Amino acid sequence: MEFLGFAARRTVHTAVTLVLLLVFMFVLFRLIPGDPTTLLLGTGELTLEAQQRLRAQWGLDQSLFEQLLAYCRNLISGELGLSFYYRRPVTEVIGPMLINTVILMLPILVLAIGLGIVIGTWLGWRRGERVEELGAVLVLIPRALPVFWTGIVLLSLFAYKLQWFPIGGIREAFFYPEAWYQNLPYYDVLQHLVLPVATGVLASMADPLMIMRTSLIEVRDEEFMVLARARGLSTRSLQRLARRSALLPVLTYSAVMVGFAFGGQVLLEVVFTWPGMGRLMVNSVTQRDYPVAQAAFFLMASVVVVLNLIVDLLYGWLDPRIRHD
Amino acid sequence: MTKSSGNDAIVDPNTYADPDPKRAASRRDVLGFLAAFGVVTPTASLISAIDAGIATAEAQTAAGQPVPRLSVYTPNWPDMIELWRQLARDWAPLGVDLDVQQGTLDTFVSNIVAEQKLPHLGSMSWGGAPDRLDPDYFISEMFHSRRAIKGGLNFGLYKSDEFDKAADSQRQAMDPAERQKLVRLAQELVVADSPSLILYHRDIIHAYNKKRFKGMKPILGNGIGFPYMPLAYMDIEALQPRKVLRLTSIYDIASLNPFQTPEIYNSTTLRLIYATFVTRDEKAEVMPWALASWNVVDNTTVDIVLRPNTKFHDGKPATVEDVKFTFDFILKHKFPAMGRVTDALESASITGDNTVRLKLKQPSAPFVANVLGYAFLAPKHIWETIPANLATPADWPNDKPVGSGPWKFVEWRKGEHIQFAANKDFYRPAKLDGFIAAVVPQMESMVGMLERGDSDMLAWNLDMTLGARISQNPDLEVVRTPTHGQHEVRLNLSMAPCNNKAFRHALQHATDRKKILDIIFSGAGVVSHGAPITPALEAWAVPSLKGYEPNIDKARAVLKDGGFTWNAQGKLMLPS
Amino acid sequence: MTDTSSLSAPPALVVRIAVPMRRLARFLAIAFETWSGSFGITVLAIIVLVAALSPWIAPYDPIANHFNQAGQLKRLEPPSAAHWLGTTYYGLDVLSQMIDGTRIVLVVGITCAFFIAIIGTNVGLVAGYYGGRIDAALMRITGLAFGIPFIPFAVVLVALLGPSLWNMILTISLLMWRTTARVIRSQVLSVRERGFVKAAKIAGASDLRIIYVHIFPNVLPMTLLYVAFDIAWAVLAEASISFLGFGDPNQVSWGQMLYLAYVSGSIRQAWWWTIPPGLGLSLFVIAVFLVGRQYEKLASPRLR
Repeated sequence: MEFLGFAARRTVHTAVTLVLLLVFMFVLFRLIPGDPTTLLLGTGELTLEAQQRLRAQWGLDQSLFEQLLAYCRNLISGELGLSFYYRRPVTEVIGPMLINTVILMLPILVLAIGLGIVIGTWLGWRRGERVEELGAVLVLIPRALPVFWTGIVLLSLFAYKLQWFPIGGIREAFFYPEAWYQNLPYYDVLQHLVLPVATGVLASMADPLMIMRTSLIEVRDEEFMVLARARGLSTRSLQRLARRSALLPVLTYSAVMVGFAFGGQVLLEVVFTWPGMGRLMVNSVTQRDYPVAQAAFFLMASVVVVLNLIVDLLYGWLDPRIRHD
Repeated sequence: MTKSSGNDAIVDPNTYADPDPKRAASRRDVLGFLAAFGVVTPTASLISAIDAGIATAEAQTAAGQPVPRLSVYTPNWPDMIELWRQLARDWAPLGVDLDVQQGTLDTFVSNIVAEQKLPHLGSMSWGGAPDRLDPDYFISEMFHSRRAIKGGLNFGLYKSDEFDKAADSQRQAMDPAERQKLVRLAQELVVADSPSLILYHRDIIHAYNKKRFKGMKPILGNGIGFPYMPLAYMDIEALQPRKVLRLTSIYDIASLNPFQTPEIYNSTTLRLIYATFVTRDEKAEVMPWALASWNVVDNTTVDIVLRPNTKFHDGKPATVEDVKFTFDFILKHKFPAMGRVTDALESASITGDNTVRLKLKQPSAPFVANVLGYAFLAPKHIWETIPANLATPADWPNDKPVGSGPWKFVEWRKGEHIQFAANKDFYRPAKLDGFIAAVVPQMESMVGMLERGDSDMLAWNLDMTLGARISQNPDLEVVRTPTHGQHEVRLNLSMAPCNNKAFRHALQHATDRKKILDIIFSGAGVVSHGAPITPALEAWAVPSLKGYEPNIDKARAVLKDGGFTWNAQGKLMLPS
Repeated sequence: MTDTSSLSAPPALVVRIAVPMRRLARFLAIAFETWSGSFGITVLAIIVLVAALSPWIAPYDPIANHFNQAGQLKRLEPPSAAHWLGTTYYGLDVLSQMIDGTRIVLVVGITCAFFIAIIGTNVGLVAGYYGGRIDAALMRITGLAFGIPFIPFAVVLVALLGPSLWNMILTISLLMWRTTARVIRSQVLSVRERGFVKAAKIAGASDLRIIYVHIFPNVLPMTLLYVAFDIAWAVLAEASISFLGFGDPNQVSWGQMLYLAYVSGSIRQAWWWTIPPGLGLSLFVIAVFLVGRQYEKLASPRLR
């Protein structure tokens, strides 16, 4: 029962955060000097009178508060509005970019977390041995390299020098399959995915790995493990037992990681020319395309916030002490 | 050298007199930091900083005072930053100090053009867009007092009655010879008054794969690859079986609706599909395109003749009905993107099987080049049946654009590429089967794709050093084309010492344009003679101009003649 | 010489300096316990030294263009005797820029870490100690900070405030305190249940006193640990923002160098321009990690 109360409280708090986020972003974007018509002014293509007409047409001449109200009203009825830059519905603009981002992100997350768990367990089990110290250092190196630098190095080597992979984009604008294997479904997208995914995994693998390792070290010394060892369980069963208990922190961190992955892809998208949400967010700010920028930022933020909520609820469910928060 | 000096004005008006610039700079940093933390609200911070800078500068203009630190605002591009480093060095011997502040392009435009808040100096570069070939743009748009308003490009606030008269006259001079005289006069006035330091006209450098394609046509301001001039792609031929050209570009279009946006790349790309009435040839002369011919009847009347046997991409024939419909449509809806049509045109009426008579609102010399070169032939049977629930037809997606131009629309993948097929029914069909423009926002990737053979043409402005490296590849050819675009430094004529003509002339003489062009653009370009129209446009350029040889002594002499002096530390002092 | 009770009583001042110096020495010695830690702290020491001496050891002015005998710009020249790390696109000396860049690394790293520590620790302390509505409100704000994607937000702030170093420090500090706040808060939640805190409360100590005199010293190791890592994150963040072109063009930061190399299309050719800044950033961050790991053991005893 008290869990339900806790869950309800948390959900309400999350909703409040989301509303705050919405208003915050809305106001922030409109504080930036200029509006969607400004860049067109810079080249002398738009007369002042035409610009004012455009602004009136797009509702930009109303007060900030009126614009906010109109936006909220539309939002409640599910209307995200028209992009100022493309003059198309925001969903139409964001949709394909979102899909592209997911195509990039999913393999990175799966591989990073998967490899992190496997290697983290391996390292954690060998705590105190020389190989563990070396392994921990080796793992930290790709984490320390700037993501864009790793990307450029991988590109220079595998795409430019060895020419094993394309140098960017999500698919060839002009793809003509030549060898037999190039006709396999999604071959084009897959070959474009290899390098960015490799870069992303190298950068993000270290965190789940270290968490898994730390967690395993702590679990190994717990009473139930000592007991199991005393009972003579094989190493493999011991490992399996430990891993299961040590998994929770990694999983909860993974939820946080997913959220961060959404916001942190801009560098990958720039280096690999990937048409995803990161670039969309940056471009929409430069173009002052408020509806798209707001929707994109809000989408990314709500993913993180909702995931945090799920993690909180999970912890609350597992650990009754937390529910009194 | 971070935030503008304006914040000092709020705290310590004696900062300009601080003999230790390093200490003043770090104090500025701290104040800027505090300001960034919300001591001043974000919206106002930049503007108020510039404002305060301007106010302080004005306060410092008492006669005999040292010239204040000149505040500069520039876009944050690497070449602009390097430009100001060079200018700071060039002008230092004059006893002038600079305080450079930079902003991203969008913020720069909104502060400088929209808000007209230029500090002492600002730098800008102008590309070779087609309507700028007509001299009216670089004369009226940039220097006429009428454009010294919010949204106008005369943000240096140059106001000269004599110049205004010359500018207005050339606009209405329908006789080419007379117009040429007036255009040259206007330029001579600009050179005499020096409201802007025109630096150079940087060459356009494109590259292509010469083993696979030939027939590239370099056009002034367009190079071989920009879509500004439809003629550029018309004679390209394939030297291998694939007759579809693959080119790379940094930009993507935003819309397929030609009435929607005036943005240069978007509108010119769409005018590959929708034929404009006239266009420009290799010599930048106006030539008929959708029209067969035109005739300027009198000051305010132009008769146009549609090219016979014109067909739209869906097979339907194009008639004068479509011509009249297009103009009426634009006049009726007053699309902001088509402002120049609505400003110039009064009415369009059918006068024969193939002829339409256009009445202008006032005499306009650039009408044929800029209005008929921008308006296009739109199919009436499509545009009169669009959904009525839109706020304006400019919002209609137009997912399958149908025009009468040399290229048919095939596909547009947002953010990735746009594909065209040749229209074999066009009066002068392209030799290719089609072409694809891929969106590649990184120069690095563009060059890589060209070198690897993934693309056939690099249709964006390369740098000469990169170009030199590319030319070493036997398959690739680099093409250099002059442009009518320009790089300039604009002075704010309402602020001292920029309001002093001797000061402006001194800066002209102190600036080493050639050296700057060499450093920043590897020397690929034409050094300006001081007038806004490039010598490459022989019809309009002033042939007698000598330009400025960089000469510090001459600059100092000019200053001395203007009453300027120098104090013991070598700082420039205003005339008393 | 750890015995201070020698026959001749040492002057009080020497004792005053000697004891903290010894503590400091012992503190630093922890870093040298493993080879990785030693490597890390050596690299950091070198960077600090170079940064401090940069005006004197840099061979040239980092923004001066260099010309050869014929008066031509020495553009993109590979390493030579005159320019050990070659030159950039505008003929600037790469080595001088690398040396100058160490200053930015330290300024950005330390300033940001400082602000992040202040904001994050205080938010965590207050939220964890008071609980209830205050905690809920602060956690909502922390949630906000978590939700906002970092680089796009940095772009927004640069558009708003202009691309200067201070604005970047502001941007980084404004968002990156979120992790610290969370961690400190959960630490405070456990510390506040401990005996001595309850005792202090009963004794009538004010809230402020309890927070800063009793609880804060216990979360301090964790704070410092995060400060250390935040230095690294802040430097990487600045490099990332600069790489995208939104950095301070007047500062010669390593991220800015990579941006210029990239945008001029020379990044694959001019290895002398590309590798040093990337390597520099990587080495700095690795060094911070390695040293931080050594001190991690202080903060979480179980990792010993």
